[in-house]
Amino acid sequence: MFGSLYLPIAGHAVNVFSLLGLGGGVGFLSGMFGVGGGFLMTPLLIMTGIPPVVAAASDSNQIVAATTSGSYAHYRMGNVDLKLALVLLAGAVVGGTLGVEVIKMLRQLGEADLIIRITYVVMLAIMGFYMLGESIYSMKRASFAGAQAAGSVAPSGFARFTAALPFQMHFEKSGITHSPILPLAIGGLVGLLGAVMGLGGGFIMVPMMLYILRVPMHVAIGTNLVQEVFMCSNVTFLQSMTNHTVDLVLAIVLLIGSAVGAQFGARFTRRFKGDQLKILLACIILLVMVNMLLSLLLAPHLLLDLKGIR
Amino acid sequence: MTATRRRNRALSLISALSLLLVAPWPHSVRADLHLIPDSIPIGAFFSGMLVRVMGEIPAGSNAVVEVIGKRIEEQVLRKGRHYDIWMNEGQIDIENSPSLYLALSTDPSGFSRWGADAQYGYTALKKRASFTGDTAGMTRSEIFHEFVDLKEHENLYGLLPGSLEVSPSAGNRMSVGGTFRIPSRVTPGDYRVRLSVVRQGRKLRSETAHLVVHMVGLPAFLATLARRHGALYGLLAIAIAIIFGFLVGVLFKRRSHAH
Repeated sequence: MFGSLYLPIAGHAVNVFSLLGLGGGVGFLSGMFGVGGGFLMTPLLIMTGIPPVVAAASDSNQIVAATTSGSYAHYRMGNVDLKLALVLLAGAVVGGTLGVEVIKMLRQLGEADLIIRITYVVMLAIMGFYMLGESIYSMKRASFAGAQAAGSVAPSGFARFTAALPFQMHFEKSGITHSPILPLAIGGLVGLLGAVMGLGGGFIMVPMMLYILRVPMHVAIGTNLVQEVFMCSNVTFLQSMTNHTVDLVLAIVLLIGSAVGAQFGARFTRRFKGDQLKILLACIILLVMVNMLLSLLLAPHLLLDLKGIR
Repeated sequence: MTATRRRNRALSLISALSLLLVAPWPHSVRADLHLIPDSIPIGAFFSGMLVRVMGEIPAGSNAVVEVIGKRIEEQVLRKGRHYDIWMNEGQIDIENSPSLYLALSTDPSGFSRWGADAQYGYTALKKRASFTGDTAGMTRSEIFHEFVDLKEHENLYGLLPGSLEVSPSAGNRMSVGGTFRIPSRVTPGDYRVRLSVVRQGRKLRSETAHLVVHMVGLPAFLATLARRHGALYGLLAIAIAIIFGFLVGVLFKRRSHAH
């Protein structure tokens, strides 16, 4: 069949053009919003018939390419805060290790699948609705109040709390001053949720950087991409070592599409304002959430599913 | 009757039965079977392959061709409703079911999907299969029917009644021919292709040929590397991804400078 490519680890053939298109589309969004794209790519790969374990592992491999390409583009544009990325990464490594233990415990209790799925839907819903609401409110406020000075708004209780934390340090690129405890905790939480949900966690990290750390949108995107390069490299290595589920052929085809798509996505970002980008990302997050919710509520076509790979 | 005579009679009877079993079948009941190709290489662009099966059977008979994979233990996850949410509820181990099963016949009504005839088709497979694990009240039939639906969805099981063509041949015999597709999801290994001669619902004779499916070239190299040298494979995968991502970044930088 024309355009067929055999995947040696997944154990079946796929159409190379559909994979390139899939990689390109998700890579575009990755470059545009600074997320690895795992929350989109993995379900899409499963829909094309790739076994879930191979889809998740190979996806983390291709994310390494997309985020390297996207990081490079954002670094050139001055959107990467390396200091902040390192602190977030440190937290994410600790959180990820904890998450692996949490998932082991949940599996023993027999409730892992239910909790993972519900966590996924709840997290996506919170992020999506909050981001959408906040961006619309922010755009309306800007249009009514014009260029009202931000300094005239009284600091919130949360802002006073974060300012009271010890070891305050300045993150120059982001233009923020925080105790490293805060980004470490955020990195830890995202790492934990990422491990439990089997994702890089970019779609949780970017909103948290925006709303808790108050990092500007473009810097949040670039910085998250850098920390995802390391996170996903670690996952790829561990999956190859322990489960042998990384399909290099699948990953290479996807990464060709996604690395090129990420470049176009990063350029496209400049055409939008921060709030417009937030609204677009919120809509995509909510679409994935609705799709997941429907898959949980509607009766499946087949009542049995093959476990693992053949 | 003395003990010696009884023993001699018993020995004679056993000898006669043995002769019946090992003696060649009469020419009229013999079946011939050939496969083209009889070896399937899984290369980088493999997307499944058509296999032509040809044989000869006695005139007035029907033929059934079965393509049978190794009997393996498959682990499946059972979906169920929990707090109104569909999720994987338990694992069922299915033993003694072939990894691949395709059946073709000359007779369009040769076998129905869940017919009473347990010689061929899914009913025969169901008889041999066994189930353990968290079945949660599902009956044997329900589990196997769902399992067959899943395997058919993956193109690994299929029934093709009436798909074998028949044409007259020399010496009161008929040529039988047909084509089946080995799907791309096939696992490398040895597969049996069995041609059975059937008359009035009774199997008279069967002939078996072997079909070998094996990985070659890049897929064989990568599959071996992934399984035997996981760490090296992982490092290679990361290196390729980082180098490729970086090269694309540099390429796009040059292009943007060029504009």
